[in-house]
Amino acid sequence: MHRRMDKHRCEIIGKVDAESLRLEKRRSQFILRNKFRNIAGNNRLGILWIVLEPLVFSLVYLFVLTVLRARLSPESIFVGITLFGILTTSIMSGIDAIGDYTGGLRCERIRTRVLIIPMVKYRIIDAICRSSPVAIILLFLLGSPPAGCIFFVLCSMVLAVSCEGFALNFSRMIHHIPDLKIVIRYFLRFMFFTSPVLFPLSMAQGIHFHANLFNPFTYYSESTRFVLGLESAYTDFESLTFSLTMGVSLILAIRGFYKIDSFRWELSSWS
Amino acid sequence: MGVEFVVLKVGEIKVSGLCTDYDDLLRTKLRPFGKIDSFRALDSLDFTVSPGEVVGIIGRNGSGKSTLLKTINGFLRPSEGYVETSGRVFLLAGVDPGLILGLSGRENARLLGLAYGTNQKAIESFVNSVEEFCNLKEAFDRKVGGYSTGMRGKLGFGIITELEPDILLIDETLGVGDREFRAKAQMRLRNFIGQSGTVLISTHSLGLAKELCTRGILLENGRIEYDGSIEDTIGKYVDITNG
Repeated sequence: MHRRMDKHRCEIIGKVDAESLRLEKRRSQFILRNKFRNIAGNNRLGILWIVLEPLVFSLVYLFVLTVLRARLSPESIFVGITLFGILTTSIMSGIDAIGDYTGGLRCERIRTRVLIIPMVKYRIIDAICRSSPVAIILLFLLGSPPAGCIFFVLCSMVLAVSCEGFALNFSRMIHHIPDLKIVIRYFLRFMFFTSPVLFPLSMAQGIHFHANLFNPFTYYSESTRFVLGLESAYTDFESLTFSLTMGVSLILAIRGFYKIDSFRWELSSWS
Repeated sequence: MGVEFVVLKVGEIKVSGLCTDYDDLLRTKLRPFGKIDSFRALDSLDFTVSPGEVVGIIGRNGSGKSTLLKTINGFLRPSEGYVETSGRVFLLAGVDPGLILGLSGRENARLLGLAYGTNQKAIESFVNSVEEFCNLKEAFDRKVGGYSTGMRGKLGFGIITELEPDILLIDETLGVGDREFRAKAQMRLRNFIGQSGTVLISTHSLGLAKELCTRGILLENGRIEYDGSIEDTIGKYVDITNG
């Protein structure tokens, strides 16, 4: 394996042999399992907490909104809170992605693709863990259509991966200005109440409605609500705004995954 | 016109015009978002290490020894120039090759052995060999989180040196553990050297450097002050430190 490192890149010259590719696959599995080990830590319930989190939050908000006598649909709240929870964890994970560029293997430099594969896999598994129990509740307790429940799980997986990719674009900036992480956390809290999380977009009016048309989260939550047969603003969407918002967010997500190697290399010399 | 690459032999290292800067964000009242402040840790290094050569990197604290090893390993980005290596490069710095605290020494040896490239078929003999080398006895089956620093060092060193890198970079690691372990560690290193592996050792132990190395590179303020036989390099280093 001939490796050359200069200011611009750390690259392997020539073809990577089959043995190295097998090793990389094994390393990806090692990193993925380590991620779950870190999440589980010393908790008795381990990664079950990932499953419980959206359920607990949904029940809390259901309780609060019932006390407030709000016009609510439990299905809509379950969908909104689960999807927004996935968005939040994916974004926070994305902006922190460069924090550990060794993948837990501190003696040998591993290729960035070895880090990206478990990152994407972990995000997908995390999304499945969060959305599947909610989908089961929607299906068996709340009588939602099976196709809608499957769409909800698929939608949460796409949302998770695209949000992580989107957030990777900011990882370098956040490494330079760590305060931005706190700003993003506040912004996400603001977005929780302004995005169609606790309510379908059809309940919003005026500028609130129109501003949310440029919020990619709207399209994930509203399309899921629509497929589940719940109240949604899906039919009010304009195709141009939809294409523009989702197109930009997907391009940024792809850019994030594409740029992580150069960010990782550039930030390696930051003290 | 593309860059032309000369094919290196396995275990060879080529360093050309290498400069490494550490970047830091300096915040002032006038610039709350900060400006990038660079510190040059390595300055215009040029050298080649042939396969099987054992080189001692010698210098005072802050002279750039660790930075050089990290740059060769690919953990740090060069600011100018380039580094080329051929073969698998391992850096043994500190005492932790990536130990997972929640798992036992045995499980760590197994998982890290596989992750660092040992075959599935050879993993059991790998674990047994690490166990024998570390001599942690029943502690080998206890969680690493409860180990002392010395015990972790033994385990980490045992795992990494049981692997077979083409280039081994050692950064002040041979001082871990008790006297018996240090002797075993040096023995294992000699075995590795005997197998014609390329080794770069950064150390303050001049006796060890003299014993193991054939060549020395003296670093001073990030520059190569001297590159030659280990005896002469040590002599120059002693001259510098004596003022």
